[in-house]
Amino acid sequence: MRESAPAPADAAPGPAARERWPVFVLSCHRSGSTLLREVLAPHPRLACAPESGFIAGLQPFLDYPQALAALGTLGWQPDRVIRELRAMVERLMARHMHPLGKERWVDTTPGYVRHTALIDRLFDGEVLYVLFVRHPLDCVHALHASVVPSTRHGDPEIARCARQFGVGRHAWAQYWSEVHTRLAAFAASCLERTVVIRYEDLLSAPADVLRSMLTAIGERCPADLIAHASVRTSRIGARRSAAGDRTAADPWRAWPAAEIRALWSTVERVAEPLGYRGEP
Amino acid sequence: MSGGGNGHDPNAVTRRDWPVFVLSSHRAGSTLLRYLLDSHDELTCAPESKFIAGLEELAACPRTLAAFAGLGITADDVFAEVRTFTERIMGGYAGAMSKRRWIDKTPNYYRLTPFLDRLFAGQVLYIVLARHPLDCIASLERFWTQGGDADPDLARNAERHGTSRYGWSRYWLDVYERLAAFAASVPDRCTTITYEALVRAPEPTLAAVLQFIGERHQPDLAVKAFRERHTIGYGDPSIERAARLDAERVGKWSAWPRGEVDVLWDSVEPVAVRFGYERPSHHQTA
Repeated sequence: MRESAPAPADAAPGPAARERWPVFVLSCHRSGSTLLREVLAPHPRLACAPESGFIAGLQPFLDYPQALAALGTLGWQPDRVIRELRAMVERLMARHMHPLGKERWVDTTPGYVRHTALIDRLFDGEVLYVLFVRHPLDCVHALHASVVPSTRHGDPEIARCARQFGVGRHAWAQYWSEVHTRLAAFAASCLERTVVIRYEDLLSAPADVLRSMLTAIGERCPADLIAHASVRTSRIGARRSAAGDRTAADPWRAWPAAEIRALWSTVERVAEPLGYRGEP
Repeated sequence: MSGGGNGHDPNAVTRRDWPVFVLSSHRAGSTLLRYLLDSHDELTCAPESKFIAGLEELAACPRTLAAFAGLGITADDVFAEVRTFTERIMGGYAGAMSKRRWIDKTPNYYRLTPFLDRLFAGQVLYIVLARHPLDCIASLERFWTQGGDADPDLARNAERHGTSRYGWSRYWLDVYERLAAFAASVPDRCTTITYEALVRAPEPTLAAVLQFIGERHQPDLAVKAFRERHTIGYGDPSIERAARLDAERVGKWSAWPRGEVDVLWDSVEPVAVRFGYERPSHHQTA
């Protein structure tokens, strides 16, 4: 009296051309991804979304007890379910893009650092990544100055950081190190689909960085986009160098030398391959 | 039996395409009802789908909806897409079974009724299936030791109330308290039947259910259900050993001590009477 359900018809979309693949900007909190989003906003094809966050919610669905097994009995094996989820995500993002007249989406949610495996599986590898990094001590300074860590923080990633590492600059340094260790390992697994850019380079040479990044993701770089980026980044650069000394640009340089050394020892293994140095 | 389906609904054509959810506790006979409905020429009643509970975690999460709102995507947009996803899964299954319409019978969805109603924008019908609380408790007690502990909802109840008969009475109460309230809130889209009516009078009970959901009555379902093949999946596996409807699978609790029956009944009575069940008389127990 038993039989397995035959596989239902699969109407999920087939492979997409690389220049249509979504782009995920992966970064630590307070690395400047909002600036990157603002710089890319005028691009004629790219919808650079505010932090979407919802893709992380797919994991509890996939992990729900007995859900995938039950779907299997209905003829929906995990790969087919993933394709349907992808189609749903793409329809949702189309609802975001199309009113803006855009054709391709760029996501800048920092919390996705922990969900790269899910994202890559969801898009079956048809997805590109921008690793957006910032000097670790600069990032630690920004985190310490602007985020109040709590185990009950509304952002689950910040709450997890508080639980795991505690509070204070040393905790943020450990967080930075953990995030970038993950990112480095992930980038090494898909080098041909990943480009690394540094916040500091975006500020100092926005045209070069934008051309490099947009070429890597298969997009052209319009002149007016570079002009817009130059204006936007020069404002920040001017603020950072207004006082005319290095501590204005890099406030961490004013920290006690012993603390800088201690913090640097926490991050240097990951920071140095990214081209960062931690001398006071 | 109650419900508003009478065959004269002006929306009957539309309603005939709406999905149907059988809502019940575990061990209330939903697999039997599944086999009966699955034998209808137009209907497929799948094994327990379970995954919609996971979708609720995705779509009803305030943080998720806030993230979508930041993208200019409304909660209604989100629910529309999750509905499309669900209909592709369940509709795909129905298509593979060469049936026109799907019915879901996942017991755990008793917790999801507000979500289901929003997901389908009210275009959905419900069959509440009740079973005598003491029979249900007796079956739950056995089922827990035979694989029922893998079910997330039963595991949650076990953690909260334990796995004694009293613990399962709390589960029964929770399920049917919710279902009674829900059924009262959507009387035109929900009908209620009992397991006892289904096994003792299958013909009129099924006829009423089919009329309610807008389907043609087929008098041979009680026979076809045990002859046709049904998809393997989550549900009560013991039905595969059955050759016909068995009206004798009631009243096994009558061997329990009278004092225990009274205690259990006191626990469930306020809700049990709403489904037409009466306090067991002394001659029904040991």
